[in-house]
Amino acid sequence: MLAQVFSVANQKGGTGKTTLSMNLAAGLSRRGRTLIIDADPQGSAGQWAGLSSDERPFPTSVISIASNLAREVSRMRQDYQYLVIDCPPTLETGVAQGAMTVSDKILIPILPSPVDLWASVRLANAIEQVKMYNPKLLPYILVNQLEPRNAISRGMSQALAEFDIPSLQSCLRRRAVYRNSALEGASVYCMGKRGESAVQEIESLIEEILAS
Amino acid sequence: MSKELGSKLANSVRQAKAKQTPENTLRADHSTEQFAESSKPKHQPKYEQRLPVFTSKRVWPD
Repeated sequence: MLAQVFSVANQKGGTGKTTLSMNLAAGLSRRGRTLIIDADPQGSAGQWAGLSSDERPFPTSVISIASNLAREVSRMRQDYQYLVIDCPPTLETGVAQGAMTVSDKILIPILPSPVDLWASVRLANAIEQVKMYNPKLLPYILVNQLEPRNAISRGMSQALAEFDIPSLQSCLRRRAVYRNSALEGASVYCMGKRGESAVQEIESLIEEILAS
Repeated sequence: MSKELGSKLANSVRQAKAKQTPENTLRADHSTEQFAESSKPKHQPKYEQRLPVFTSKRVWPD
């Protein structure tokens, strides 16, 4: 069976693409063979996994690809059940669009902030363009770093309704454990009791996107 | 309070959508064509040319 390919994309930096990619891949690796493709020249995904220890290796491999992404992904689809592409924070190079042309689903992490919402409008347009080449592509908005007590966080659903892209029911809250896990080269699954709530969020997200 | 903020946010998104220029759309289209599977090798992203060390290399594990 060919791998399902998930791209994590947003042309705005700092929305949590790599954090989402790493934890999503860690959760998917519990269900089947998973690979992270680091398509961001900053190489944060590789750096993250490189911090893991021999005693507790990161559960998936990370490879860095910039050229011939479509061809490489087509080849890797044979060997894995899930591929997660961590896209660069730009649309200018075309790499993110390239990743989307070979993906089944795109996850777009958006922070509960006006600036993030405005920036995502352009990505939504780019996705429409990519759909000419990949009509089966399913994009989803994921609210990341949600703070339930914050008024803007609570007002997000109204703003997200303005997008033609559906929003996932699942969301990720702002939690220190997501940042701390990066420092340990681990996913939230390896953070013990500190990571329990985050693991529940990631599991809920995975169940939702696999069922969609 | 959150409902009012939600309306403001929604309005601001509508404004951002209205401000999208044809130039932006064309640029996205051009980039997409570059990376469609049928693209020719002559279309390479600029950053690949600037960063030759960023290649198809397995970075983890060794």
